Amino acid sequence: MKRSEKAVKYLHSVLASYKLYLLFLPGALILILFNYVPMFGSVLAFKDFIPKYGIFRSPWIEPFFKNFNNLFKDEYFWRATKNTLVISGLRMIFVFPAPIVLALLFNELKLKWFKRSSQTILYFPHFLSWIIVAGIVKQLFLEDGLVNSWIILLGGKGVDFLTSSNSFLVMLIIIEIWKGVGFGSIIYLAAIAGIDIVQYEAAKLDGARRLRVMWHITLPGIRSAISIQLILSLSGILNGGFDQIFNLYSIPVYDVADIIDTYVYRIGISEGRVSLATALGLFKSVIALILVLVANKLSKKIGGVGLW
Amino acid sequence: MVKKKLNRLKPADYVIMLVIVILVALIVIPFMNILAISFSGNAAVLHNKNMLFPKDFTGKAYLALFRSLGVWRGFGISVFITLATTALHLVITLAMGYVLSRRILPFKKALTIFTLLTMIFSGGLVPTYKVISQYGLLDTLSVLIFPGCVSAYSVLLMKNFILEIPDSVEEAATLDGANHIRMLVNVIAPMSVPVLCTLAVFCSVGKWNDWTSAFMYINERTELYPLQNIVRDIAVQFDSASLKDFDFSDSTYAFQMATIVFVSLPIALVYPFLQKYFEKGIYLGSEK
Repeated sequence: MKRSEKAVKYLHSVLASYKLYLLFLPGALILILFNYVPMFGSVLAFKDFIPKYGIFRSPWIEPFFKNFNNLFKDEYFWRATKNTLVISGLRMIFVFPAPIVLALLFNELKLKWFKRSSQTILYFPHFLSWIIVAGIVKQLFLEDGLVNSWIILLGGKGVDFLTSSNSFLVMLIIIEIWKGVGFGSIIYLAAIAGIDIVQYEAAKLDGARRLRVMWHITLPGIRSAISIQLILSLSGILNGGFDQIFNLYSIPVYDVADIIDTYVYRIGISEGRVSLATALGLFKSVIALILVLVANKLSKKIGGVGLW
Repeated sequence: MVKKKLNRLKPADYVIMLVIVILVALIVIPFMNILAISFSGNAAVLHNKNMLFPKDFTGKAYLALFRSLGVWRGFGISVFITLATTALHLVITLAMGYVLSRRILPFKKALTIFTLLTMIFSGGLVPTYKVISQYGLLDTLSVLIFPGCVSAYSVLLMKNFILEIPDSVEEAATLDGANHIRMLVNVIAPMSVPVLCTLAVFCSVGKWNDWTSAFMYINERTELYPLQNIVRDIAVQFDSASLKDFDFSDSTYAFQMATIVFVSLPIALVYPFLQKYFEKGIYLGSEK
């Protein structure tokens, strides 16, 4: 076919598909307005924002990296970064394995009714908002709340759970496990269901006991699910959990609880230091992107599975 | 059918069940506490807040709750934006998923990348706020509905699901003279009910629990606050300035707990029926 004929044919098919493009339009419009335009709004990181001129007419800042300079000189930035990494690290160590362990436990349950009903109850907290959970937590851990009265009953002293830096991080981890371990186990249970029964029967014939079976068959069998969850967790390492922390933290615990996202919120929205906050947000996004790419590559190399 | 031989329970099984029972208790007990406080008399609650069953049973806190106009307004707003967002989400996701699943479509790859890119990149807190502010959407109901109603992940799920529909079904419809709209409405949509239900569940729950949108974008017109934000003011932040509309009657704490119960109720009531949908959602998501 001649080039021009091909072009005309192509144009024809484009025009014939106009209905499809029309169907796609509303969603695309929303994505453009609320996802892509803000992406371009990130240029604020390189500007000296003047409210009167809005985002796109504000002048560029001299030199263009000045906002980032100010950022790296800011002590609270370093504190926020440290806190975010510490919390994410704790999350990796304690929160990440919990659903896996729970899935393994669920898998061992023999009584169907017990399994079903306990699963239903354990999945529930995931569907509650952090507002509800924060409200519950605040009540439980009041001076004269449930937990402290048990502690006193057992002969201890009342503890200041949420307002002391020492215990805040522990609380954070415990609460996060409480809320998410049930629902998080679903994906691993699904993976376990996919393991070939033959392997289990072979192991049984070889006389393997429960723990051995778990270690040598079940865990390796869900290796790809674990890898994928790990990648997703790694890519979220700079997040730290805004919803949870924002509702539970207070000024006394800022030194351990102020994460990048809460800091961005305070300086960007509360204090209006827009350029600085955007610079931090941009910085975070770029690092997060690099982390995802690296984690994905690593996962492919080690486990053979990746996100794409 | 041969009956399966009942496996004898070994000691290890009991230990595992014990662990699970402890976990279940850790979930149930806090709720018992909250419920108990909400139904307890003022003096008892002021004394301490560790009851698992109501002390001096009274429904006063709930009476005060039901008399609060603010709470009902928040409830109405939450219901409205949840339904509106979910409806919008389903329609748009269906449309976009259908388009991306077509075999022949010029620029399909570009459209797909356009959609998926939003899963990886985002503008960030401050640029999004500034952009929305410049659109003039601050302090409007729309800002609680439109910004989050399209999800690339949902579109992906939808597209994959539609791709699984046998070609013969679509061919038969085309032979009957169906154009795209007819195909979508009369053929694809009914077949996609399982996916749509799963998407509806996650979208509704997400929207019902969403407090950050109103928190950031509604500054002046606090009458637009969804229920979550009102509960937040009452039970989490306890900011006395915004609470002047509320008559706590006697016990503040019981009222706070009653609010928490109230906002959890819709989810708790609908939840048991949803289990199969969100479990299916996980399966679908992991298949991709």
